[in-house]
Amino acid sequence: MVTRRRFLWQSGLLMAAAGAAPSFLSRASNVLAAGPGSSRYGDDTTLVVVQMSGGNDGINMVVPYGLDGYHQARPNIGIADGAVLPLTDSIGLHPQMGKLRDLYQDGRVAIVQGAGYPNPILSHFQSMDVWQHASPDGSRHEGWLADYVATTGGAGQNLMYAASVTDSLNPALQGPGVMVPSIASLQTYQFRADQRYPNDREPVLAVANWMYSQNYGANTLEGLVARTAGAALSSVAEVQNAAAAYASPVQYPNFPLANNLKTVAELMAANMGTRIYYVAFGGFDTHSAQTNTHNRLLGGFSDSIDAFMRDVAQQGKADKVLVMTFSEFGRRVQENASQGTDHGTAAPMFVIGSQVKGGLYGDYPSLVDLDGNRNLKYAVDFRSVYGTVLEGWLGADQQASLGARYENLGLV
Amino acid sequence: MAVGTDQRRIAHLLRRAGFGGSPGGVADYLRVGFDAAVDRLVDYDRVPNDDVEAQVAAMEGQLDITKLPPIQQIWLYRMLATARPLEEKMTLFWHDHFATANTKVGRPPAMYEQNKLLRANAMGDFGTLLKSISRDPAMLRWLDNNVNRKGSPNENYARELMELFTMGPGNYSEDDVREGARAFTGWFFNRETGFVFNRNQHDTEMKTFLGRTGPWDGDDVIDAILDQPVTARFIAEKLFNYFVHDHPSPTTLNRLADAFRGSGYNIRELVRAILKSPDFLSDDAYHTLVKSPPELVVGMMKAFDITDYVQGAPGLLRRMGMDLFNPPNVAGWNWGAGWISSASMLERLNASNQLTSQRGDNAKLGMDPATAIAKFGARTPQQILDGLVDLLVDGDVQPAARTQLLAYMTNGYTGSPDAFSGDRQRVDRTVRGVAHLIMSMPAYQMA
Repeated sequence: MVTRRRFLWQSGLLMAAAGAAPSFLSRASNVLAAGPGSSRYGDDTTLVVVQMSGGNDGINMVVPYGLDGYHQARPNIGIADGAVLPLTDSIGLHPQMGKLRDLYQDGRVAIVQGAGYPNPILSHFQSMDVWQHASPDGSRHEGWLADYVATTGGAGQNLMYAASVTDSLNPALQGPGVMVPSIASLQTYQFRADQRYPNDREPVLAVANWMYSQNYGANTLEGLVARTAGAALSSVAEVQNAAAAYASPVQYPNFPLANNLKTVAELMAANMGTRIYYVAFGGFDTHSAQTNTHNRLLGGFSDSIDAFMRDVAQQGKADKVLVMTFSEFGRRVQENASQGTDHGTAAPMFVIGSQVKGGLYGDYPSLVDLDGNRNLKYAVDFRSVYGTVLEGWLGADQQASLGARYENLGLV
Repeated sequence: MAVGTDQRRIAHLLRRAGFGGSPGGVADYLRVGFDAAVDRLVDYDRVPNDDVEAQVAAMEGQLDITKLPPIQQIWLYRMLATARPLEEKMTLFWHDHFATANTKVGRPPAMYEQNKLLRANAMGDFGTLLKSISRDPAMLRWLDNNVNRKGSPNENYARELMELFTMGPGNYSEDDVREGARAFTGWFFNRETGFVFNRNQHDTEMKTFLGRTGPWDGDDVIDAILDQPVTARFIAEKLFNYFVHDHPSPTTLNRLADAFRGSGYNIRELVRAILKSPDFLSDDAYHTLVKSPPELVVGMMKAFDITDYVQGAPGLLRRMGMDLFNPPNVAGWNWGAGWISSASMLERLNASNQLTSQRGDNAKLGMDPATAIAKFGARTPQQILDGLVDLLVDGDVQPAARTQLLAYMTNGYTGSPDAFSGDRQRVDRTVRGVAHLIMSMPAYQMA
């Protein structure tokens, strides 16, 4: 049972929401061209965040096959030199990631090596909190994307300014004055009434909407229920229109991430002014018998991203989409006795898109000069990657979003 | 709104210590009074449940329990039909606490055995529960202890044992994780016979765990954890959060934690103390927790005496975010605000529509409007509305909302109020519609 104590801002959320009647159709283009939310790529860029839950083994994803210590640390689960898809003479991709290697060779993939943070935490849940709130010391209580959504057009204006394509709303998108929909699938995202009495639907909806517009207290979960239900009813028609209007010609693989990215592509086709999509998939907690699981996950990951990028391209939006990946931590350098790996620290992040300046960023952490828990020492603060994307792609103010400024890596 | 009336206290108690009341169930508990009702729920060993056990045994014989949906159905049947609602509510608590997922275990019968273990120990001694779950095959597989070998220990179980099951983060070091993992080496299982202690894979050397050095094994580690006052506090707080609200005062928490530790970790007495604490009947508690998916779905079914719809219920729960036996990760589900998203809210509203709009032979989840209103002898629209509002939300509705609901029911109606219940088509349409709306109210989403 996770009862998140980070919901301290809920009163703020409801107060900010109370004044503005949501108008679902207002577009991001309301934002002045040079104002907040506009980068040199325009005011209609889209970020897709891919959360890899469970602690992805970055060392077998971006394989340091030529670095000291790799094969010694991983006699059983290491990737053989001949199987690695080389990027340089010491670094390569996992053999199942051929599609991503092709994108890399096209200059569409930036890989930030050794992304992490000071005093790393080895708990899944605490470390995920760190990444979702961009706050290693736990001092920031709102999601790292929440301020951007609140200040550049989300709050009360465009309910689809950001969307969590997940079962439950991701904490990275939760904060004061923010109401972000979560859309698990387009098929189930609708309001049903008694089909025997079709003329009753509108009167029932009218009473429901009236109920959700009432005041249930500034700082109550009941109020959050009402506001969320009201926002859901407001967005149903638009989402259903999106579902009806677009049938993707791209064949997606049968993989959970692919299903979510396909939903993102369908929503994108409706041109709702959405700037941020958030998707998540899991299974990376490979403490034992890692190889088969990791092969399947990384192959599915690579193929899903490739299908999505092709779908986006045939929509004519290749230049407007950026994908960024992360996991809450990487894994131990030394494999364990059960052909798996225990919780680790730093790991690579991928930033993918046609506008990306492709290549490797940051130094690959040493596999032999380790921290006190025999884990990697991070090379790049992940908040620097967030800051780069916020500033360079979404036209955001780093200070406002992250509470500080981090080095812009210049990858977009 | 305050927990003013006896009726409201009992309805609140049945929502928190169970899955809500049926019309008859509330009346039964109301007759004995609040304190005795708590005791009857807590001392459930004394409540006969033979009919339900017989039906469960029959289902085990008829259904293929090597598959997940049948064991989900059996558990939902228990939640719905049991005479011991707190037994199932506590089993759900421990399932979430020792969150184990079939997605990795891959063996529904092992999940079913774990469910029985949790039920059997749900209100017993916490130390016994810990030592039992540490030997449970599904758990051993889930957290990889079946491959935790001498010489190269696997840290997964030892870490989560401390972080999530007993002490909480910040109360142990990475060294304790490593040393604890060594103590659990060789705790394996065999598919046919269950737990196996593999002597050859167990590290018998000295370990220093939570400041004490010795040749510890897993039971010693659990005993050392139980010696930490923080363990009693961690469990007391989590149970308080589950039954009451998420902000107990330090005084209340200390009192509960001290008594829990002093009792030798007697879970039953801790739960009794929580349910009888003044906090439980405070305004801070009443209608302030978000109903979890089974509380919502089973509660709807109980309100309308629907007893046999368990095939479809697991799917409803899953789409609302709670796939039984498949928590999202070892921390369990995200409760409270975590149940609320636009997608899950639509699922909740659509579930109430499904319940109120089904008809005919397939209406296993369906309410029958005439039967529903006959239960409270209602004839006029006002009486029907009052009856449904009392049944579903203890009458916790603002006057303006009643006005809206009544206007929906009577729009275009020209007959006398007393003749309303005789207008069969209007009753069919508007009683279903108004029940759908009441179950869509924010108050109905709250436990």
